Amino acid sequence: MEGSEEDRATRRARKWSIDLESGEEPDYRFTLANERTFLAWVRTSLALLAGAVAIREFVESFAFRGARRGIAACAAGLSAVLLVLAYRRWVRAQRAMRMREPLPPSVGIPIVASVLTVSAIVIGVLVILG
Amino acid sequence: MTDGLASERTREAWARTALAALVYPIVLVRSAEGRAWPVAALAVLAMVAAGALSVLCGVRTRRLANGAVGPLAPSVGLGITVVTALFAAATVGVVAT
Repeated sequence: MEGSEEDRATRRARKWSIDLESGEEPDYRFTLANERTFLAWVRTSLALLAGAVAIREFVESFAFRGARRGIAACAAGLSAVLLVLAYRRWVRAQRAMRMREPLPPSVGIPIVASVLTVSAIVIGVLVILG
Repeated sequence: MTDGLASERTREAWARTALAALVYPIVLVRSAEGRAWPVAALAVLAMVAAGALSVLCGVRTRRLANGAVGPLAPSVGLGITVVTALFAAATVGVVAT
C-alpha cells in the first residue's frame, strides 16, 4: 500500500517537472519548438488578461447587470487555467521527447475553442439585447 | 546541417512574449485611475514583472544566439506560470469589483 502511495506521489511529481537526466536529449529543434509552443500559450494567456481588464474598463454596460464583469472575470480565470495547462503540456511533451514516446494530446485547444464559442454566443445575445 | 532558423524563431517568440507582457500593465494603469490603491499597486507590480520578463528574454535570447540550444530550465517555465497565474487571480478580483 505504501509502495502504491509512493508510486502515486512519483507520478504526480512527474506531471509537473522535467527530469533532465532520464532518457536522451532530443534534437534541439524539437526542444525549441516545444519552448515556442509554451511561449505561444503564455501570450494567449496574457492577451486574455489584458482583454479582461479592457472589457471591464472600455466596454459599455449590457442590459444584464453584471454581465460585463462576469465576462471579464471568465477571461481572467481562463487565462490562469491556460497557463497551468501550458506548463503541464510543456513538461509532458519534453519528457515524451526525451523518452521517445508519443507526444501527449493538447487539452488547452478544445478548452479555448469551447469557451470562445460559448462566449461568442453569449456576447452576441447580450449585444442584440442591448 | 544545422537549423539556425529554429533558434531565431525562438528568440523572436521570446521578444513577442515580452512585448505582449507590456500590454497588460498599460491597460491596468488606465484602469487604476479613480479606483482603490490596490489596483494601482497591481499595475506597478505588473510593470515590474513585465520588466523582469524582458530581462529574462534578453538572457535567453543571448544564450540562444551563442549556440546554447539546451532546454529552458523548468524552474523558469514554472516561475513564469506561477507569477502570471497570480496576476490572473488578482485580475479576477479587480474586474469583478
